[in-house]
Amino acid sequence: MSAPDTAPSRQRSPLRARRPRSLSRGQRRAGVLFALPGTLHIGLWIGLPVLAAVVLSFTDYNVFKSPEFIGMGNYQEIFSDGEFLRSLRTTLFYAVGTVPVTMALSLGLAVLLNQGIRGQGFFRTAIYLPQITATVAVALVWSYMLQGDGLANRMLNAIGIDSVDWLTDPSVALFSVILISVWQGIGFNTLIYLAALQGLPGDLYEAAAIDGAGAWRKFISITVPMLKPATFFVLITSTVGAFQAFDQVYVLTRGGPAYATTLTTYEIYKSGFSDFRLGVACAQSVVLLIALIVLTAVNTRTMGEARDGN
Amino acid sequence: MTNLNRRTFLRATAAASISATSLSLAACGNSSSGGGDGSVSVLTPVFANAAGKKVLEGRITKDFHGKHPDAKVRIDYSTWDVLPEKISTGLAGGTLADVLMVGFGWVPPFAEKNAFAELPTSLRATSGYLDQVIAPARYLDKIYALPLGVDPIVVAYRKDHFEEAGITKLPRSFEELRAAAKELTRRKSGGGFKRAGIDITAANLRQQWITALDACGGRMFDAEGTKVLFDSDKGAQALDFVSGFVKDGSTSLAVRGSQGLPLETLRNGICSIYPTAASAIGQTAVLAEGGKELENIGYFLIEESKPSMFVGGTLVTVNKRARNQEAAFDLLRAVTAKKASLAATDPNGYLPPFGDIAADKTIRNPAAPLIRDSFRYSVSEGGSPAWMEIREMINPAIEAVITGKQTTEKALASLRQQAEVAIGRI
Repeated sequence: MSAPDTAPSRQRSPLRARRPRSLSRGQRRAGVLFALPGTLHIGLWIGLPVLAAVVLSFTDYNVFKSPEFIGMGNYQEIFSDGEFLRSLRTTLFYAVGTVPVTMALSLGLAVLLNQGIRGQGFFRTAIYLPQITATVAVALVWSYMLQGDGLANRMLNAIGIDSVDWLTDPSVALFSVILISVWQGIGFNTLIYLAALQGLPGDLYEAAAIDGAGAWRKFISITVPMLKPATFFVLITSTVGAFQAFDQVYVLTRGGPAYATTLTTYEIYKSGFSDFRLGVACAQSVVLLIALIVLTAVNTRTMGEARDGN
Repeated sequence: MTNLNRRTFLRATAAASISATSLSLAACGNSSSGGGDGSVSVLTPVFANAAGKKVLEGRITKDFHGKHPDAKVRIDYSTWDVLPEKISTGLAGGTLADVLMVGFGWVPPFAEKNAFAELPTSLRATSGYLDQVIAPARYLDKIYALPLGVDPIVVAYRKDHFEEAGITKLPRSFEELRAAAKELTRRKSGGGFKRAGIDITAANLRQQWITALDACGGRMFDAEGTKVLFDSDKGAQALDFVSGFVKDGSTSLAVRGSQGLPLETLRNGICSIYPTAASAIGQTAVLAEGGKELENIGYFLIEESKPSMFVGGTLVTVNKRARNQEAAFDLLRAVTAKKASLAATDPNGYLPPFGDIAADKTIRNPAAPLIRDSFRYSVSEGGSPAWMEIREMINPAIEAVITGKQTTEKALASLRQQAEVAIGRI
């Protein structure tokens, strides 16, 4: 009995067949060399620290002695630690308060700026300015405005409203931080939306106008669906940014009063630099990273399904 | 030449990553700081202003160069806020400065972890220092640092406000101080503060609580710093006192001055009583250059069963892993010498730590006479090897009581639990 020409186990399905090589060896080499600087950069400055953090998260490391492997000890500790879980809840609240509001306001502003109004350049610059200003400087200025007899309370008093303890009342402080973050985040998102709006085909609007669609109908039925890729980008970057927020809290409130504004990044900072427990801080960072990956995956899936549905 | 394709590239990258990770993790072990070239590095949260830099880079460095003419002095100016992270990253990366200026209370945690070097015999003659100031430099009967300057907390008050309110005697108990603050408070018709009785944010809440605890005879820890004592009745009494001003309606956490403006709420009449670090008073005196800025301001101490004065300050120590230890200790000697100390502390509003020099007429801090006579009532923070962790837990607990999120008892019980966990890790 003769053996078959090709053993079944070694058969390649048509889908998995190797693609024919369309590049010459020189082109491939050039491609690899072009990719090398970026790959090295990502590997050394992002991949390596992440890898080191993951490894250190399984150790008891306090900078005074060499790391000792303790398995899942740090993870068990942080999930039984009320402070870390509280910081995760606060961060989630902060993200929920920041991301949708920033996105909605950015879209509204982008639509307004896209109307060809006079002084468009000035308004664009003004809206983008908070984005390019150092967060520390921004937070410092806001701290002056929000202090007891600061500008915000003086304005409230002028219209007969009592002063608000913006940064010192635990039930208000997080909203103040959210307010500042929204103000600062609008510029970048507006720019993305504006760029996307300017790329939308005008004939769709003309067709809709001929069909008798009003401005609101055109916005809902054309603008919003057509902006889905931009919305997806803004959603991902804003969510990641919200989970990484640190400067505002560091300058404005130091996580207080009474832990009311302790975001996860600040909790990680405390574990690492106040408590000198870098193993725990690394475990907290890994949990934050996983949370971000999950959120991004959920966003990608949700937005992808919505796009397919359309 | 080896054929470079995607697979070999990925293999090479993976191998390089593993080697580099191993190297970076190996760096997490103990390593020594620089100084092989004869240089000495300094990490300091004080001296950062122009006058301070002039003293450190001029006079002190010159004295040091007398013995080490070829040694370079590299100075990293920092702030108190970021000092712990500078120390931890320095320790982790093996780049910690040779000479370190740290706070009172920092010696036990770092000495316990073998980060600071014990002073050599030649530097252990501490007879010139005030006893209360040298105590925070000791851990388990060994001396690890010398003091550069002290920064006690006193209570500043507006004499004109007291007079206007008819208060003729300074408060001598918690109850009297709370009553005075209430009496001095003036509200607007809308309910906001026209003038708060007291600004409790002017000094660190943790340090105010420690002062109050000492004033009513309580203690933070036992002598070894391994047993928590602050959750006693005295601890609760002290916490009720600190948080009571808000409950009395004499102030709120929103009554606070701007960063970098010493005595702002007191000078501007926004409050009448102002517990503050003496350095803020000294800095104002230096800035006012003998003007009338402080004429209307008096000073007293928090008092209950006895007066109490919180004493903070700066200690100078040497990294145990400094390569050039001899030079580092000589620089420590130059920094903490009497003349250098006086020149360094006065522009910052600090006071020199010496028993005899405290009476020096050149000191411009107007709170100096009260401080000089009150060292016998002094209390410092720390005393536990877990202090660096515990100290970060205290302010949120006090804030929780002040804002009504927790009762005094619950806050102290929770604080005790957290502190015991931290101590248990030692």
